[in-house]
Amino acid sequence: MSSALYARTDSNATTVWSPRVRVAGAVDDTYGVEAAVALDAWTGASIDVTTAATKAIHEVRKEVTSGGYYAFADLTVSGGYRYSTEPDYRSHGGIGNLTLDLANDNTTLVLSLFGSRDDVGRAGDPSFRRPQRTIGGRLSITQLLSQASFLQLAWETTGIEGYQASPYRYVAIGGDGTCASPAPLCVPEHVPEQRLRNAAIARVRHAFGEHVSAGLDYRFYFDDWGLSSQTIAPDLALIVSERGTLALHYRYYTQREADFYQPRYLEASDATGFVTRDRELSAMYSNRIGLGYLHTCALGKGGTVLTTALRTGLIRYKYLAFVGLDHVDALEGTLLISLDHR
Amino acid sequence: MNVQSYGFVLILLVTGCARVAPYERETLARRDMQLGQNPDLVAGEEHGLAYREGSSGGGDAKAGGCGCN
Repeated sequence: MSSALYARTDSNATTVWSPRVRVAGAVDDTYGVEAAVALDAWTGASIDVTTAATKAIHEVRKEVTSGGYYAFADLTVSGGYRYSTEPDYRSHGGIGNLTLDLANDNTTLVLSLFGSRDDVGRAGDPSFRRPQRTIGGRLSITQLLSQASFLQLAWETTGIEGYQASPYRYVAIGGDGTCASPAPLCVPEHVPEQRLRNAAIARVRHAFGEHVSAGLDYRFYFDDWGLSSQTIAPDLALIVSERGTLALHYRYYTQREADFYQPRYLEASDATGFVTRDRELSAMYSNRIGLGYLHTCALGKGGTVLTTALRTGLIRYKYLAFVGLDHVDALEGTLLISLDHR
Repeated sequence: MNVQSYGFVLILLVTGCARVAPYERETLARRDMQLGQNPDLVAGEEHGLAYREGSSGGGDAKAGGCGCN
């Protein structure tokens, strides 16, 4: 059994509390099941909210997941189902995985297929319902390179169809670029209804001596909205005692804006095309530094292991072309307590 | 060179690596060498990233719903 509490606060007046409890059990050596419940309570007075001239909002998302696996000799089949709901959003999703161990477990291939069906609503407007469907796949290969290192390569493609704008976001045509101040025209956000997203991932990890290891993750992402990004995330892990592990993380992220994104839409003719006020589609970069500590200890002689972990991070998002917001600083952390009985 | 050729070369490169016998994997099994973080430990972070950045994919957690925080 595992429980975790994630908390986040940022300079854009957003606060998130997200507790999570998961129970997992292996029925025998070949199959097992798990179930989890999570909440996502957030309060926001973000730039999106203020530019739409609405009040600060508080909302709770509830999520239930379940899953299981069955292991054959070199093949493991696993799958899961997820249901998530909040007052203006509902989502059903599923995932299936095939894991194949090859070459005496030196090589592991994993094929995953996933999909979801969402219903996007709008608070206070029961007649507003827009569907969104997602389907995707991921193929990864993990290869042992030596007695102290391994490499993972993966490719993931996801197709999304349906409503992908925010029902709360309005875009100013003319004026200073926001609807908070008088603008000649404000129109609902309008983005394409189809999106094909691709990500290529490489991860490598190497042990140095008996107490130190380092990893490097790289991801290149591109989609047919013209948005592309790169992520580089090195980390260093140190075994500081018989039971404690300390980890230092760094993550750099940079993205190019979507083709139809503009900080300001100035012409009246812009109102008939795709328009967005979504800063996630603007050019931006972020830096995150983090620290984590994990501690394990055996409870008695019955085979029960208690794991406690704390992971914290400081992030700065820098927006290169978003009217009204230059950057956001955030502090986040997760506390984990887990009991494993074997 | 087409995509299939790149894939074939990649598989040759990867599967051509030195074999590591099960009894030689003590270092690889160390707790600091685990590739994926505990999913409960990173679920909140990854869900947040997915809704603050324009890109997604490659993470271990497959959280869903909007939760557009």
